[in-house]
Amino acid sequence: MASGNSIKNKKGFTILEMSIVILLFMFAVLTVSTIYLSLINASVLANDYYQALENVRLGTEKIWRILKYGWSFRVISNGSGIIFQKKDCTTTTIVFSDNRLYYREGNMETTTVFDPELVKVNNLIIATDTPQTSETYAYFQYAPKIIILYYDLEIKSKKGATSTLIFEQAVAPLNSTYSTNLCE
Amino acid sequence: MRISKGQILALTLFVLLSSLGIVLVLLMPINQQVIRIRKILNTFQALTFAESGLEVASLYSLKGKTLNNFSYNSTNPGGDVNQSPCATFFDQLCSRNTIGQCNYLKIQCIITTTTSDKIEAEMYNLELSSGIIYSYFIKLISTGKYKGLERVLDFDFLP
Repeated sequence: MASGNSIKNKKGFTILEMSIVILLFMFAVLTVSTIYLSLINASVLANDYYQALENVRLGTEKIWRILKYGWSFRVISNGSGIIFQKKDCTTTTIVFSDNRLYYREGNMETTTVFDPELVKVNNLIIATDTPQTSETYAYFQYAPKIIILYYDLEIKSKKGATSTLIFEQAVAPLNSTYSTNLCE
Repeated sequence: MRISKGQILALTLFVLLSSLGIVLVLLMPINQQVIRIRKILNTFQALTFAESGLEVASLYSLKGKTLNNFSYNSTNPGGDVNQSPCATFFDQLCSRNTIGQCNYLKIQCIITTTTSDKIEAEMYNLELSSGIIYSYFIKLISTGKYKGLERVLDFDFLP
């Protein structure tokens, strides 16, 4: 009996107090977990964008290298593509269509320059200089000396977020200074 | 020990305010992450503009032409083709050169999308000898700008 009385005499917490404590604890856990998830999401987004940017770098680097050593450039489709001969004289085409940038080399299968899962091409405009001459004796007389590509891209994350990337790329083909076109 | 209602209220307010503080503090790294992503993208764009400026300027320098404060500013795209960035680019190149040099390089003007970017390049020809010039080097400084970010490419070479 004595032990029973001592328990009764001890003043504990009421249900209301306990409820408030649990509620506050849940609130704190919810807040922290939400922030933690946001942090993870931001990190994933950064990683996705970084991957897409690397893909853009890779694609533009490829285009730059191929154009740099190419021959006989001709802008096609009102500036949305270019046809030329690669270093080994293979006829090559780069063309923008259906939000993708296609690359075709000779009879090989057409591939995309950028990964469609990571990069959406909104627009591509290609411009070249046109030397004002009727002389066609030497290649350098009529060969374009500069090619400028305007990219309007959209990089994508797996969660659906997108970010615009607009830039330009200039390429001065090395072979345009030669007198003989080795591919003709 | 009996906790009074006032104490519970004080405790509640304390936890709420503490949580608010924690939220604000913990949100900072998230914001920083987002800012960092944006900066990476912007700096990439600035770099591509700087590289483009360098490519064009090195082409001109190899052809023995001098460019000072060559700039390309695509702020007025669309509309009249003569006001397109491409034409502006060409005009600004030509304004620094003679007609003959201008005729040699003509950019096909195609309307492009809106950007507020700028390429600037300066070129210096420094003679390394007195009397007969037998050698010189060219210094190209191309600055790509995009939304407050700048990427500078400094390039020296002997043509």
